[in-house]
Amino acid sequence: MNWQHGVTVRTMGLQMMSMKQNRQWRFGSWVGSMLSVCCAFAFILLGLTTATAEAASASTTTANMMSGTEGVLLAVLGQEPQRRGRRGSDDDADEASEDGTEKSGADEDEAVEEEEEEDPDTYLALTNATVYAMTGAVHRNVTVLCKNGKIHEIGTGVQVPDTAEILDVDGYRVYPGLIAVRSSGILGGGDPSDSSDVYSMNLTLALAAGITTANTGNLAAKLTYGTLEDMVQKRNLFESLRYSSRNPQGKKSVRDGLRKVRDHLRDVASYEEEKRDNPDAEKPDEKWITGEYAKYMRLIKGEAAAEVDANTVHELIDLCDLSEEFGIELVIRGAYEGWAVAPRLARANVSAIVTPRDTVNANPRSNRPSGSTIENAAILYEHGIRLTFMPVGSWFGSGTGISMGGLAGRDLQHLPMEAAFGVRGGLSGEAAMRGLTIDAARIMGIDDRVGTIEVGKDADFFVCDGDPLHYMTQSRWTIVNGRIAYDKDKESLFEHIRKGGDVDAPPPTDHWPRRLGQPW
Amino acid sequence: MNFQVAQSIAPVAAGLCTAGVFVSSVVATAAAPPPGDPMRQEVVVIKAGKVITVSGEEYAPGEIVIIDGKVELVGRGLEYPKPARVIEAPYETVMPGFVHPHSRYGMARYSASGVHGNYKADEYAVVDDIEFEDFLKAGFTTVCYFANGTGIPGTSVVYRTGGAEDDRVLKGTSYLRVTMSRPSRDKRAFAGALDKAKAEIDKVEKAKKEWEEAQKKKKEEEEAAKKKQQEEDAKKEGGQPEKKADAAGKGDEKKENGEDGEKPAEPEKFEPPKIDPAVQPLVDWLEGNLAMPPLIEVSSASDVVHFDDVMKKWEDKELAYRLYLTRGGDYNYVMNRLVEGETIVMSDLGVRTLPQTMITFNMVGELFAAGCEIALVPVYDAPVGFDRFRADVTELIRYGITREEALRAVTLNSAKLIGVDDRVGSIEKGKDADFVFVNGDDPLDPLARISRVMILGETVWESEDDADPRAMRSMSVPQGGGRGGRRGN
Repeated sequence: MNWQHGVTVRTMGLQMMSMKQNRQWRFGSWVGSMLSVCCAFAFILLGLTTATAEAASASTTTANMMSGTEGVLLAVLGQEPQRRGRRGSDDDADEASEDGTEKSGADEDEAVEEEEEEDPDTYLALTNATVYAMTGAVHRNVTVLCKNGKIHEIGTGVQVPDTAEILDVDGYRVYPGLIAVRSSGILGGGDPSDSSDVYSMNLTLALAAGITTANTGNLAAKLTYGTLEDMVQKRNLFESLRYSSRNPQGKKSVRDGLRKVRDHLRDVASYEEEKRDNPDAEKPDEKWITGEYAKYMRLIKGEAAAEVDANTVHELIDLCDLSEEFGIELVIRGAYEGWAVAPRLARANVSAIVTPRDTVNANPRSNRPSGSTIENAAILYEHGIRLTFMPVGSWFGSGTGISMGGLAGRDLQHLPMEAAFGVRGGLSGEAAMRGLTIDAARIMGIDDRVGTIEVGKDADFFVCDGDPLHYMTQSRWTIVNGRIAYDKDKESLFEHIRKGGDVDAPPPTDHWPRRLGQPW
Repeated sequence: MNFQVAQSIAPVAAGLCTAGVFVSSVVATAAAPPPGDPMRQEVVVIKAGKVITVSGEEYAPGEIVIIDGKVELVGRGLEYPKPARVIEAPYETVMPGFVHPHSRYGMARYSASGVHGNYKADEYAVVDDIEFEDFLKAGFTTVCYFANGTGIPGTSVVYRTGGAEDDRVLKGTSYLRVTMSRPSRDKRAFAGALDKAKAEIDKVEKAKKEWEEAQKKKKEEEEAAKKKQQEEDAKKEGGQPEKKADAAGKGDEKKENGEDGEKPAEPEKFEPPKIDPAVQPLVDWLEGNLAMPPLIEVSSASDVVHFDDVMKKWEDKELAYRLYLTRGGDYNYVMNRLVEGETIVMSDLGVRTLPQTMITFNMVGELFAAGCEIALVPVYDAPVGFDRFRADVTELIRYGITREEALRAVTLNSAKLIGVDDRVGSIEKGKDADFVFVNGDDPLDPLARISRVMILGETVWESEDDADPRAMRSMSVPQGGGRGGRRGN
């Protein structure tokens, strides 16, 4: 078992060292040997102290029971040896040197030297990979080498360093990690790196669905299992804008605000011009640009996109007008009547977060096209509108989006299924997958780091046993920042379902349906 | 097991203590008159069926000689000064009293949030209000009261559970409590407090530097002035023979220097700027002066990750701390991390199942096997928890920890944790005579019953129902499986 602690060798004496090795050995064969040794110990002692026969037999039973379940126990412990870098790359150097000392004996000086020589970089290599890069290319039988959480090299004949962790993904497909544009309950509120439970069941479930990045609150965060490193990717993704036909006054105030800020920016521009000739020119007052105005400023300057709920033709056209008037980038959530005004939306260059599974009946009193259609996603895509998907929320249009409440298998577990509904309505599979990866990344403005498998991007992968849009497909491994965050065989959730990727495999004989919470 | 406890009590100095006093309850003992002759040693000898020292051998039968409330000798066939009071307990086992390292049972209802390193639990734990007898009944002779609240609510205080009212405090300042059980609330408070402590250290250092520079400058100015003076003097005395003047001048110089060198050091002493008392313990911690490592309270594996995240900034300081794993956490995810710690405190007694499985998992056993030392805390901080404490620990033995480990976990390790292992926690020479008497030969046998509790060599609690076998049975038999302790899964 890989020993992952960051206590430096420098600080330890010889005695400590041998103790450590001892511990390591103990932990290595852990349940099997140690528990039985432990139990035997207890057994002897109990025997010495005139223990009853009952107590003695109880302890041996424990030993038997524990050694029998060894394999699964190790798995459920979540302590698999491959899981790298609980503390990250700095400590990995120490870790490596500890391994070194074990080979060379307990010479402290040597250990220190080795530590210095050791390559501090961490590598992960996916070998025999079929890579769906989401750039249009499918690379077959290549090696993807990741270095310190970034994709370092893709290709055949890649030189894999000795220290690399190797994952043979032969027979599986490698996709970029999926991106959930709306989520709740996966990571903690506020700053997730200060509040998340990094071992929570919801996190594991989301990873099991192939998701590696999620928009929570107003930031993009990685689903880093068991660590807080590199969790938050980007803050202040969107500015929310309330622009609903149900609130005409609100609409007016938004327009007025935007106009005021725009006029101000024009004043600033003319001031700059005037300053060249007249150094005494008066600079326009900027003190009032706070709160809402600051938000409008960011929108007009193009520093952030506006995220708006809009569904009906009326709302969509209104927003397109607004976007064109002020040059605002729009991300529209819902857009179920978008198919009826797709050319208009395309002209305004908006992006859309759609839920193809939802249905809304047409309005019979309306004399224009209305209601939802399963072809919505396909039509929007054909018109060049950037798309991503969000599962059915708590109420239509603008619910919490992706939530993890309830049982395993709901909501977020269905993110690729939501896109599959788009495919059912005519969207191409390629486009649907782009919607879950690179297009989602573009909408969130994080496409410089995630969304495709390209050299230099983050090593976030969804390694699955088939087409992700197929209902049978499950994640085999989910990799976040170059670390294996989910391993189907080592989590108890889906480990027993279609074991080894065999689609016809019956459930195991000792089948125990996995549920959340206590098994009874 | 229905032994009639044989007791022969030798007459003590001036016949102050009669047999009646010794079979009495706490109140009666507290009211007992003080020993008459202060010059005379108070010698108590326990002759027990078995003595478990925890730190060393077990003696069966064994004897303990107590002089003035302290253990003098442990062993077999000991010689002791006479007159001595002899307690015969041939069918009983004597072991160190249990130590409860983390309680607030009976403490005033208060709770602090934020950073209050200067708060002390004893300001809120009023000795008169605490039902110490509930501890005594379960065999606890030492209890540590923690400061309640979140963030850094303050330092804790260690009490004896019996004995003279004015001698209850065993240690006034024990560990500093830091909660990390809800990172969204605690993480920033803790990280902020550490930053503030660092700022205070820097403030003091800066002030000191400035002061030293000022002193240096002052000295230089003085010396320059002196030199000038001397030169002027030398000019004036120009006509005198050189040799003599030289010698005399040097002598004078030395004398002057000696005086001047001492003078400025005496009156002007560096006075450091005041440090915010709320972060004083953290300042001490960062500087390596904190007497005891703080106790970090976590409630899940993730909390440990968050704690490490805060500590990453202070890695170079190698700060010592101890973790308190509260009940019900998924600590199995960070097993590798936990075994780094030397002492871990746990109230996660009993065997649990791993998440989503039927697999039983003895966290305490695994940690012990990995080389950790563990101090155990009753599951509930109430009489129901105290009473089932021994039974819970026994269950852990059933699931694979050794008897020695279990005994250490309830006595010596807890004493170490709260910084009183020089006084209690084991039966050794020089330590306080705080013992618990259990009938039978194994205190961790669920059927064994506590018959007597002794603090500083005085019996402070004694079982009254030893005649009733039914009472004996109902006391500490484990009640069902409870939290995953079910057998035969």
